[in-house]
Amino acid sequence: MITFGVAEPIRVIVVDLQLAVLGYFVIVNIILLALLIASALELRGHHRQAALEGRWRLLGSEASPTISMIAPAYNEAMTITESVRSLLTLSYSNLEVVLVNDGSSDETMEVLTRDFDLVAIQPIYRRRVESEPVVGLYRSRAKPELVVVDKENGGKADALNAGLNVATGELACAIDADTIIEADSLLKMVRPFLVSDEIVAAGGTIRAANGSRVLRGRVVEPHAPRRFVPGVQAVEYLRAFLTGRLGWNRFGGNLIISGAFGLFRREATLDAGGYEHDTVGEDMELVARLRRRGIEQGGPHRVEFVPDPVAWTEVPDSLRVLGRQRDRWHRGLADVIWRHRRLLLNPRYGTLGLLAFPYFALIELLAPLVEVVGIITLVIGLAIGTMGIESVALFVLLAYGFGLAMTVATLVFEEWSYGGYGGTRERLVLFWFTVLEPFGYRQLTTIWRIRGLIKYMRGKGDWGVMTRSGFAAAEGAGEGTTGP
Amino acid sequence: MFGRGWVGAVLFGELAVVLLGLALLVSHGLLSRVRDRVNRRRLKRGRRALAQALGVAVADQQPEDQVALSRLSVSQQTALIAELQPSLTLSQRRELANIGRGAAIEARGLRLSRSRRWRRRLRGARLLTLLGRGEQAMPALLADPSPPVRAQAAEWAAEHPSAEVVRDLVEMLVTSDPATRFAVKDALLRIRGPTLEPLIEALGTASGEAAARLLEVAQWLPDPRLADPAIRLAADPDERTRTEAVRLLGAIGGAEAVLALDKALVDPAAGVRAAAVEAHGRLGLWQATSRLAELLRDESWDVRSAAGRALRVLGSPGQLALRAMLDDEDRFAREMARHVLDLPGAVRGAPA
Repeated sequence: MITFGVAEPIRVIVVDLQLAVLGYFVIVNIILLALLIASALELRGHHRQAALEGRWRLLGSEASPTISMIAPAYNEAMTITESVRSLLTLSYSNLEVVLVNDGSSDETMEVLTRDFDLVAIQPIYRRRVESEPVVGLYRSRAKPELVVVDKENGGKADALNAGLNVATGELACAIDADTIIEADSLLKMVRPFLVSDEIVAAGGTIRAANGSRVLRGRVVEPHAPRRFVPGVQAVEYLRAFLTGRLGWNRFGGNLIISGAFGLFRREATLDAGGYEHDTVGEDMELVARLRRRGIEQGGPHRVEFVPDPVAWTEVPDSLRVLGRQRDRWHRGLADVIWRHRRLLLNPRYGTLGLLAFPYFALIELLAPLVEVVGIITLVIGLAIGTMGIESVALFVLLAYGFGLAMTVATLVFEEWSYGGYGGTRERLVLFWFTVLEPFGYRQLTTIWRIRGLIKYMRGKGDWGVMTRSGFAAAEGAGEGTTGP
Repeated sequence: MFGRGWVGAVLFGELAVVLLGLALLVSHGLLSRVRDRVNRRRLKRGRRALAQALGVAVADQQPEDQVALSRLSVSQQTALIAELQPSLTLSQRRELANIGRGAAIEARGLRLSRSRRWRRRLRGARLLTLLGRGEQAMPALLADPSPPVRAQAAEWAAEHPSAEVVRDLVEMLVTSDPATRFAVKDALLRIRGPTLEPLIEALGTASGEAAARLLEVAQWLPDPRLADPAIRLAADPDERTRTEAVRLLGAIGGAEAVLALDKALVDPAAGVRAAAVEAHGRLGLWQATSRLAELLRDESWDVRSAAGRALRVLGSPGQLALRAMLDDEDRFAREMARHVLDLPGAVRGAPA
């Protein structure tokens, strides 16, 4: 093999870097393995606990807490009626739907007024968290549990804040207007709040709806996406929820509740100041703040992930849009880590400070950088002879194999537990994407995340444009799916 | 450092992972499909047989439906009963324990409810709740060391409200931990009438946080006999207890309650004042209009907004008072009055 002669100090640096990357790799995989085992235990416990449980009793219970569904909508005239109808038919008795029209420039407000017979109201409410001015408040004559807040445009966080001010429920469920929530999801998601005063927020599983048949705001035939980009994201989502967040439950360290579907104690959220405007990671920022405040002030501070409530969302089906999303997610993560850096390795915050926060800071945030450093040192090492071709191949194969084993285990969990995408054939489709994921896709996500990190360091905080094909549009086209 | 043998071994390992994963997915999928196919017809007949046994008219009745239940396993019949549970009455469910494998389900429930492991006791309690049976085993589980088991026993108790069980539930409400509080409260609200006597008795001696929890349930059963303890507790040192007591008085009414509510209008705690103002509105106490109007100047937004709402529901006297407040020297009182009267300029949220 040809090697280049280099000075000894450079060789030492390269070898040290290689050892550091190897150490990092070992630590990361030990943590991921621990999360996988914890997830398996949690999943088993959850199944046992749910067996024969009379959740339906909540439907007729006067003691159940009121839930306010807060759904921000911006230029969603095409789909808003179906989305709201689907929210109004959720199986939960004490339900209030607060739809926030965030200054739409299309006919969203007109469609809502026409389809739900809205009438202007003047409720006395307190503006406890900041939001852009509210132009009007309306209640549906046909469905009195529907309240519409018409406000000036201010973005998603701003719309959620306006909704939080107007809502009256003990619990607030923040969703995206185009999220499809399974009918019994709230009955499942409310459970942690009924058995513990320490819970401040809970999240459920999000699945990729691309490829599924959506009818009147419900997923009627779930299918795994058939196209590569949404398909590989479906695998990622499964892994993130079923082995990531579920595993963190056991370590008391969940730090993320998806913005597409999360349930919060409204009073605690208002006391914490609601959603932060000047961040692109407002969901994670809110959870970090709620947990931090809860611990500091002795209030509710635990965040629970409940695996069986399911919400469906359309994931990006082009690399361009996906790249923008991942870049934004990573900027959001960097921002949250920086804002709450006091948590890092601070024993005052228990497992949050000693385990979860360091994991997100040192592994989730920095992993793409370490990955790039690792690849560069491998190449250099190969060139200057500090590593043989067999060692490089072994390292790459181990990295690939471990990721593969993790994802295969997730798919097996999914097969044994919920089978959310339908039959085994759907899991086999996902299996195929699992095998393909490390070839090209993973490297792309690394590049997007590094781009996000660089943008954050340069101070760019824009959201980027998120384009969706829309469920109703797909129905209208007669195809009955969200995919092609 | 590492030879080709290592690389080969890892490659082999990865291939094994892929094949093992595939084998697990495919075999589980196939087994599930076969099992579903075998069970589908059996369960369909079981459903029909259960419906017939309960006297429900069934279309397309088959002679073999009669024996279908005996062919179901205990877990299959349990699953069927669980599926039908939301639409069956207690007596119908109790009937199910006499047919097919019902007796075996009950026996299993009783056996599990005596287990040393809490998960098994929970399973047993759920089976007995499902069948509406277990009078000899379930009351003891109300004092089980495990919160999920206690919560399940409370769920069972909602359908078996003997005097002793209701007394135990009220006691649990006083000493409750968060894990069982919801189940106990829900059970008491479902039981309603029989809850009253033990509740009055418990409120006679309770104070502080425990009393607040009792008062919360009492608000759903606004009986005049609750007035005396509520009046006493309206002077409790604990703020939350006073608030709940005032809310209960607002639901009961009566001359003595009104006196206590008037006192509560000047309570040092804003929450109590707000509850008292709401109670005045709820009871239509128009004689207190001027005092409610004064509370539009209260330092607490909650009290001001409650006063605004109360004046609005008091009709003409309240409307007159609100109009008079439009020129009040206090800016917050003016704004609240304007907002309540639905005048322009108050749409964008009341002043905090």
